[in-house]
Amino acid sequence: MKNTDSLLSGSSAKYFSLIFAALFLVSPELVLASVPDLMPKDCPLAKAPAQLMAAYMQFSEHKYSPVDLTCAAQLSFKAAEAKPGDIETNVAALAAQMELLDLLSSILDEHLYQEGEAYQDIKQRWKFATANGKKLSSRLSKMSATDPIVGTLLVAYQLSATAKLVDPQVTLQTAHDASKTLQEIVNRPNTEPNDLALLILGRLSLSLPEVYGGDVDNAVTYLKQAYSINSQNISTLRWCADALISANQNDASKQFLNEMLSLQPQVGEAQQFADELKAAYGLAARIGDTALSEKLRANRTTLLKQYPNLRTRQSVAGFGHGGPDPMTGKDTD
Amino acid sequence: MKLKKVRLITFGLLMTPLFSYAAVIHVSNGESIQAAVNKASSGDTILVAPGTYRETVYIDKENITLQGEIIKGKRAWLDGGGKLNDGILAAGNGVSISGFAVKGYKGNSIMTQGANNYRIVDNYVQGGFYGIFPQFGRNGLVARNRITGVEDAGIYLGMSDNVDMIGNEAWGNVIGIEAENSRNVLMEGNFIHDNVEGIAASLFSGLPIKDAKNITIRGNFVVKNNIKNFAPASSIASSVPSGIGVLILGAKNSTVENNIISENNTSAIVVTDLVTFGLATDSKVDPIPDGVQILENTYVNNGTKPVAPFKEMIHVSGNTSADIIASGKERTSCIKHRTSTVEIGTKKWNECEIGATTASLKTAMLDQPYVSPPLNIEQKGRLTYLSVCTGCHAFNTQIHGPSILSIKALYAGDPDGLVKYISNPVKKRKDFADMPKQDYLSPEILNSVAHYILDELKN
Repeated sequence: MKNTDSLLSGSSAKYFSLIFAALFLVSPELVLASVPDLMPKDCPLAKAPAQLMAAYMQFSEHKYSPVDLTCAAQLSFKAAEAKPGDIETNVAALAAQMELLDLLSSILDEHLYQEGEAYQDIKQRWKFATANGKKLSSRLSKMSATDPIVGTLLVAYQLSATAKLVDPQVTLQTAHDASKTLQEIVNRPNTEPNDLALLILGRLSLSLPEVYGGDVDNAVTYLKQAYSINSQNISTLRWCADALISANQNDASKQFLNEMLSLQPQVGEAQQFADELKAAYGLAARIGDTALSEKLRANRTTLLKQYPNLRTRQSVAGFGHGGPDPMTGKDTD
Repeated sequence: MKLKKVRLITFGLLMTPLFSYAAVIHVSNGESIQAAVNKASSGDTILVAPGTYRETVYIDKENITLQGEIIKGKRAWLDGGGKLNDGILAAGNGVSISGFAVKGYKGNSIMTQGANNYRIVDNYVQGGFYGIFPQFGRNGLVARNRITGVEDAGIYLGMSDNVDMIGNEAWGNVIGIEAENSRNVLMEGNFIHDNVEGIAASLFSGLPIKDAKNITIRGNFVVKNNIKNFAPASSIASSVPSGIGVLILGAKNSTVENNIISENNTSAIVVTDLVTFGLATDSKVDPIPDGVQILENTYVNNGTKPVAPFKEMIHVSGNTSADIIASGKERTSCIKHRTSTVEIGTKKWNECEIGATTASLKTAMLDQPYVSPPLNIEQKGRLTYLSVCTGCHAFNTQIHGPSILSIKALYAGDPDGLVKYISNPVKKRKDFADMPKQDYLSPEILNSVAHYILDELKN
């Protein structure tokens, strides 16, 4: 499962959030009929099955582009359809749908108000990814649900697919169920350490309300365990810091923020790094460590210059809210 | 030598004004209020006679009193006719707006932007996206207004400090009254009923002010806030669940005392952080509402028909209803008389100290007016863009009007052309609604807005 491990660790920048929204029904037939409109013109959908995954890998590196990730999602889906019994291909395909959903979620988070043609485009892509994901999840559940890596991915996909654009009760219930499933996975005897499961579990413990088992102290425990398995995951470092600050352990959080300074992104990780560094410099500013905040910001600035296509996550104004500070003209982050 | 001194003293006396003269400008029915504002000098009073005025009024001078005369129960009505975006916009310090009835505006009925030491008193507001919307100001009074039919908050205090919201009535709105990303606010003696949600003290990400704190919610009647949400689907307000009396969303050191909170179907009081609601997208913002005090309040028949997701939260907790629902992450928070309330998510909360009360707080306003220079033209341009333009235009996507990116491309290097269009728009494309004239804005403001859009705006 070597390829799967690298895919999962590369895709661990997950933005799980519980939000109210309208209920959208997924109609696979209608969605798939409009698929060509969602693709870039150079998306090689006509490639032979054997070449689809290579093409997918190329497009999947562009984690800032909903258009390219839609192409990657469809290429991998087609590859999985051609090899329905191949676990690795199907896992990669499900991860691709999840990466697209996570990017779309993060784009929705850039706007306080959801309207216009850009929003309609996101909704179309969302339907597309969840239609594919539903089929892939079902197949993988039958093939290999007891495998902890596959089990973790299935949970992660469900969280991504219900983070936005669904009834809030569905979001909350999915998160609650995911927490229980992941606790079972990480507590299984004789299984390999699973930092992704612990990372997700830590984030869920941070986000769930108390009545659903949310607990800041548990979040710190899970995230530190994830760190002890893999200290090179920038998302783990960020969330360790975040949880410690929530637990009023500001000084302890600085270790993790400092360690983020020494990491460098691998191929396809630049957007994740830019986002986590942005979160990190905000956290450092919040706890009053201006010097550390500036170092983290500087690292991010360097990254953005190196990769000019990355999303900068600046707040966009709408209906009298957001955007640059009108008193100074400067960006608010 | 003596004679010279006498002459100098006399000359000095003649140069010193004995009193300052503030004019009173009368506006009769059929005349333009904006014309009167344009004529006015700082410190003047504009008295508007009862009648109907179909215009947008923009005030960017200091210390203007805009007063609607109320004669035999009749008021001056500002009527946007469902076509104009904004009723009264004010960017001048010391503005006072009182005695008006405002209806039929699509955006903001009464809005202040960057104005300090303001008074918005005794107005009636009907409809609009925001009712009364003071933003980016300090030291304000919003009192004895009546607001209904607003698609977001009836009174929406945004990023403001030291404000009293007193004795207002809000009904039939999505949110009755709200203080967002604001500090030192007193919400007292308001009658908040029949909204989707009653009172909110909130904190949002992605805004220039990164905190909300010291909100006192005291002595209000918060009754039957259970109506169906009618906010536009695109609005964040469309996600507001029905049936909450008082919502504390991320605001620190909020106190809820001596309110009568009754018949709110979901719960009397909900306290939650931003993470649970998926709103923690700015890590500079501390998402957890620490220091909440829920003191003595009267709760009557709340939580009898909760909506999702609170309905399920109540069910999971083993209760059939709840007076107080909390997400559970709050630190240093307390409730008084815990045995008499049904609570969810408050295991880490304490009993408030004996004697805890906000009685010593008489006002959240400052003892003296806040001293600040008038807004410069660049600030006015940016504030006008935010308050007026973003109602219809987004930066990189089309909503009611074309995107700002496309406008920048069309008018690159031609701010005069953009000013000309904004002042008197001509319908160019069938797929867009007609753009109202923005000719109530002065040429200087229009020029500043144009330059901001074309030269500075990047998001």
